[in-house]
This record gives sequence, C-alpha cells and structure tokens, in this order.
Amino acid sequence: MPLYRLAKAAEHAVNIEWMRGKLQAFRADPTCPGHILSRLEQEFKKAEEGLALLDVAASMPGLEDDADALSKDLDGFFQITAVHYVAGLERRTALETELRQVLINACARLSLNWIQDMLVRLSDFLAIYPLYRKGLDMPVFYGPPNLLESFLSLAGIYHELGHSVFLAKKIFLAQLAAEVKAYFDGEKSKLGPMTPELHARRLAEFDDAALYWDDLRLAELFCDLFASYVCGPANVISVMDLAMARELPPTELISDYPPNAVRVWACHHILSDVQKTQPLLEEAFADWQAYEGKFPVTPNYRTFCPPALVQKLAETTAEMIAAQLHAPRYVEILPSLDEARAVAAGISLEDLLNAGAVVLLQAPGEFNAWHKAARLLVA
Amino acid sequence: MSTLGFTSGKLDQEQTRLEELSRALLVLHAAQLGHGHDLKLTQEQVTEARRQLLQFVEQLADALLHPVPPSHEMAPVVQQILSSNAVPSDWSDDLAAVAAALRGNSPLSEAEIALLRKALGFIRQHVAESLSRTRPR
Repeated sequence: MPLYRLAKAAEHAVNIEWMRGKLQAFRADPTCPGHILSRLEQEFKKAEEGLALLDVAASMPGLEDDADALSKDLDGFFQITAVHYVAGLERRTALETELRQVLINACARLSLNWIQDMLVRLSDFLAIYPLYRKGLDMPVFYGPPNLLESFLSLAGIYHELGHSVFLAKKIFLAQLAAEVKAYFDGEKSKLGPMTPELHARRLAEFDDAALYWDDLRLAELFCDLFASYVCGPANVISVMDLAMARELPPTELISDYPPNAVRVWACHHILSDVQKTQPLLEEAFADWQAYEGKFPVTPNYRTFCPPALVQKLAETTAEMIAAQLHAPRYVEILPSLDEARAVAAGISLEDLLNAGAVVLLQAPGEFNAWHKAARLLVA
Repeated sequence: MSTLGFTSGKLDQEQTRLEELSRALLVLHAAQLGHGHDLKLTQEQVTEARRQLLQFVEQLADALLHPVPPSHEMAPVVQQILSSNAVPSDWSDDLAAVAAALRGNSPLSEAEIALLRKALGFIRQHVAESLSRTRPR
C-alpha cells in the first residue's frame, strides 16, 4: 500500500501540472467562457491545496488512511473536471458555440437564473451534466453531432434542462415522493374483505408499486413534464416519437424511466384544453393511441402505473413548477402551416420547434427545405 | 436521452460531501496526533472540522433511529449498517459517544476515528457504485 500511495501522489502531481497548463491556455484565449474558467480555477486551487496536504500526510505515521481518502477524492476531481469541462473547453466547434448561446438564451427566457453559463458538446447522446462541485451554474449539455437534424428529438433539450430544475429545489422530489406514498397508502386502506393471504399479497403489490417510483423515475417524469410545460405541443410530439421510434411495448416497465405510455400521457395531459383540442394535435395523439393499442398491456402496469396516480403526479408537477419557478408556461397552440412556413429570424426555440412539428406533420415533403432555412434562425 | 442528469447530480452531491467530511476527519486526526504544525493547520480549521463531523454524526444517529427514504443523504450509510451483521443500537451507542466527544472538544479515540472512517467508507462505496453507472470503465 505505501508503494501505491506514493505512486498515486506522484500521478496526482502530474495531473495538477497538466490541468494548470490547460487553465493557463484557456485564460489566454479570449473566446473561453469566463465564468466557467473562473470556477474551474477556484476548484483547481482547492485540488492544489489537497495535493499539498496529501504530500505531507502520506508520510505521517497514523494518517495513512486519511491520506488514501484524500487521494481518492483528488482522483474524482480530475476525472470529472477533465472529462466534462477541460475536454469541453478544448474542443469547441462553431456549432457548439452557437448552440451554447441559444441554450443560454433559452435559460434566461425560462428564468433559470442560476445557470450562468453552459458548455455544449455535440459528441454524445442527449444528456446533461447539471451539477459541478455543488453548483448548478455551469452545466454541460450533450447531444449527438446531428442534434439539429434530429428535429423530433430537439424538445428533449428542455427535458435535460429539467434535470437542473429538479436539482434546484428539493421540494420537487419530496412532494412527488409524498404523492406516491399517499396514493398507495390510500389504496391499501381501501382494500375490502378478502382472505388474509390475498390481503397480504395485495399489500405487497402496493409496496412494490410504491418502490417502483424511485427517485430516478420521478426525476425523469418531472423532466418530461417540465419540457411539456415550457415547450407545449412540440414536446408531446417529441415524446411520442421517442416512444414510437423503438419497438418497445409502451406499457413495458423499463429500467430507470417510467413506461413510455406514462410519459406520453402525462406530457399530453398537462397541456391546456385549447392545445389538446387542436385538430392537428388530436390527430397526432390518435396516431399514438392507435400505436399504443397494438400492444398488450404489460403485467403489473396497471398496479404500478394507475391512471389516477399518473394524473396526480402530472398535475402536482405542473402546479409546483408554476408555484416554485418563474418559468413561463408555453400556452401557444400549434401555428397554422402558413405561419410555420413563414418563421423568421429572432424566433424562440420553443416557437421554432412547434412550427417545425407542424411542417413535419402537415407537409413532410417540405420539411427538408424548411429545415435548411430554419435551422439557425433561433434567438 | 440518458440518466446522466439524475445520476451525475446525485453523484456530485455525495462526492463533494464525502470530500468535505474526509478532509475534516484528516484535519481532526492530524491535529490530535500532533501533526497540525506539519500540515499548517489553523485552530479555525480544526474547530470547523469538529463542527462538520459532529453534524454528520448527529444526522447519521438520527437516520438510524428513524426510517429514511432512499433519497435521504444518509440512506447509503444506513442501508449498509442494516445489511451488515452490526447491531444498529451498537452503532447508535458508539455514535453518541463520538458526538459527546466532539461536542466536549475531547479527543476521539482511534476506535472512534475508525468508526467515522467506516461510515464514510459506506458513502465512498456508494459513490463508486454510482460512478460505475456513468462511466464505461
């Protein structure tokens, strides 16, 4: 162990030197996002102090275990900082830089004021790294290189921003978890007369169902609903695409996420009646329902995802977003095809996504040309 | 779409908390062993380390007494204690002794330091599991 301890300290020293060099290079680059750089410099200083402490502690009798813990912490710092931030600052393409500004503008429009800057990296699946060293101020947004071309996925941007929102206030998780508990406790209390064995089995089923709604699934459902709240019908169409693009039974109890049937239903449910009753959205939703109807309902789905619970979670989320945030609700209906064809520079990303959805659904033959013209109109 | 948003957020919360507590334990332990001067520790740092560790011990003791939801920051430690052969009331007694020592500015015994290190080790194990969900290797 002493050999490994000293070897690891020597490796940390090389990493410190490497990161110092990178930060100096970023500081010399006037295009480098200033807030991100300042934060990285602050955290780097702490890592330098940690290494200095480690160097001394590693050779002190009695402190070996403490030194090892410090060493592991430094490892974690280097890996996260290098992978998400150093790599992101080093390889900024013109498109990533442009999209970064679009997303920063969207955050400002949605009053996500804690986000001060952002890195965009078009090198991975749609995702977000929302929290860095206790701060939600500089997330890294990931998307595939063809993100802008994958138009139906684009509303997923708001789902990812939803993760930052979800982490910003503990009440979101606490309240949704409380709703799940209250629902299944209520169901247990409503059980009528039955044999003790059946009663015990039913109670166990409700316990399993309550456990199914873990933090991760509640977070993912919250993010879907946040996206619907701020982006409206375009998000519903996007979630339908997410569900229909794969041949997965909509009621399948998949790992990590709620079933697709729940995600689509909930996202659609929190739209306004005016939005839901637009003929185009009604038609698209009927398409989804026809697709959903082709699959048998997965065993346990009705116990784990009862409509009354999903409705409660959807409505509670919408109420919490309204009460806790200043994010404007997207209340617009889908534009007419003519309006969608006429999108112009300065349009918000939310409006553009709704317009594009109309072109895709009503005039798919025009979409390629529309997309080329509309691709970077957003403000 | 991936679960990175949720898993990495939880991971950062756990990792930064673990770092603070590990650093606090190092500071207190070093000061007790008379290495404070070598590590250039100030009295303020030692007092702050004591405060952080006391807060952790009190939270853990409370979580052992009352059931905590899986989202609770102490849940990984409580789960490990409950799933081990240890008797939770033994842990509670030991934590009460550690808390009393921290409150009274008394030195912690090596056994008490080891107890804190074990509790932090449970968090570290959970962090490692979460990390493996966000990394290919």
